[in-house]
Amino acid sequence: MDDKSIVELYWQRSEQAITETAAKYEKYCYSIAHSILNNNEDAEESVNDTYNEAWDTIPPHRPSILSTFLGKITRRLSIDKFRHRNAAKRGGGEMPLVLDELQDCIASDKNIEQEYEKKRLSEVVNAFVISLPEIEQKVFLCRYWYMDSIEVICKQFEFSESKVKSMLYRTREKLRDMLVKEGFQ
Amino acid sequence: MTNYAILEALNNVDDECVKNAKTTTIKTPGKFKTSGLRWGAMVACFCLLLVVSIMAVYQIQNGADPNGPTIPPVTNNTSDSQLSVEQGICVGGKLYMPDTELSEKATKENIGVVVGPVSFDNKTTLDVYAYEYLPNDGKTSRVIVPVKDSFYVYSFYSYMPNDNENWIIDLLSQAAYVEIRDVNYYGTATVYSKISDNELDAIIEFLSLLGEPHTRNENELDQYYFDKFKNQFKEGEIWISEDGGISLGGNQTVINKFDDLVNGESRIIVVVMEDSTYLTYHYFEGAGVIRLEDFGYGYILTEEQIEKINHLIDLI
Repeated sequence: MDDKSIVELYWQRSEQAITETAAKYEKYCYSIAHSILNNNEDAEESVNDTYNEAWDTIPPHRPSILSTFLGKITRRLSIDKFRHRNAAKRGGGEMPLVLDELQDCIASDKNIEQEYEKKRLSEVVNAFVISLPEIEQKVFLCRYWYMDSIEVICKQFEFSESKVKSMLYRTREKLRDMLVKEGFQ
Repeated sequence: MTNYAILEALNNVDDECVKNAKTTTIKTPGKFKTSGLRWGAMVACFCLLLVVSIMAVYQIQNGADPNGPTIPPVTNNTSDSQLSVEQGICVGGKLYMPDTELSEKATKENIGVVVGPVSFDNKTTLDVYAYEYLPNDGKTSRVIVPVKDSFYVYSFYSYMPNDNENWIIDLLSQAAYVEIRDVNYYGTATVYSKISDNELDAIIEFLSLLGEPHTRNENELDQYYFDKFKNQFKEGEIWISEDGGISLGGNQTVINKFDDLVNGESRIIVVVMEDSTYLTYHYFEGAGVIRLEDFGYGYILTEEQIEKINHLIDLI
């Protein structure tokens, strides 16, 4: 079933919407959740929560890209779950590595929990991502949005491991510079 | 700001970007990246033509077997994959042109996954196909490279010999096929299905016609690179490869060299990174030159070795 029809089912409040969503996007959502949580049960729970949240938010939303809409929910829920679980820093999965790498971009631990700053940060990060050349953008998002392992990224792009790491490093440096320039300390 | 904040901020990235990230446009293998490379390829072709002509004349004049030696069959150790050489390979004085059928076999499907480009002389010309063909020897990752701009091929990607000192010999004795490598350290010959000494000699002879470094003697090769680099760099200088720098670990990198740490080998470099520690080999003893290559790393060190390295770093 195409995405438009699935969204229409949500708007009609048909439970078939969940079934169709699961049939089409369960694997996609699960892969995002599992990359973050590295745990089957937690990942499955996140995916189920995703369906629930999709049910609660459509309507009023009418997502133009259903996959990304669901992926974002899964990602957010999984990150929340990860934080809640507060796993050991080196507890496995890609999350600890991703967090470590993003640490490069942070000048200090001070400040910013306010909504305004969060929103501004989102805008800056979004602008940054959009400004990246195509390949760098894709690699960056695969790593930090989808939390793909370096190995998976290498396979997807047919790059060597060192090339991917090198590219990510440079991109993080750029992000760091931009964040500093924008006053995020 | 925390790193979580960035992760969360990423959640609001443009939907199209997120969606497109998973749709990859695979690069076309072997495309020329620079006009310089194009010229280089033309020169290479010309040289090849010239050498082939010389060899043909030589063979006619000396009454050599017109068929030349045959390439030995692929051994049981190998997969069915054969070499894909677009412009032929010279063995025993005979130039073997690519066999279409065999070339077709050497595809991603039956060789393995393309793991990245390999660079000769800092120019990306080839694609590296990783595949496994040596069973149960613990050194399974090899590559085969369809050559686009010359008859050179390259094997040996993440080969990790057990014996540092004799690693070339180790490689030669176990390789299913030794192939010719472009100007590079250890740039002599490599094998695909083990070739005879006579054939290897013929390759070396062929290389000599091209003016390529050619020797089976490691010391001679070291001397070659010593000569090559001694005037190019200052003593103690670290030469960082142009193709990617030394961003091996993605994090801040500390480089140190140390002598006599492993098996008394003094031409070993330690690359210590914040997130891992690797060894690589490219130190030309006496030349004061360290060559670091982005794609090459060898052993993961033991705790004891790391401790020793850290001690050395402290001293510095």
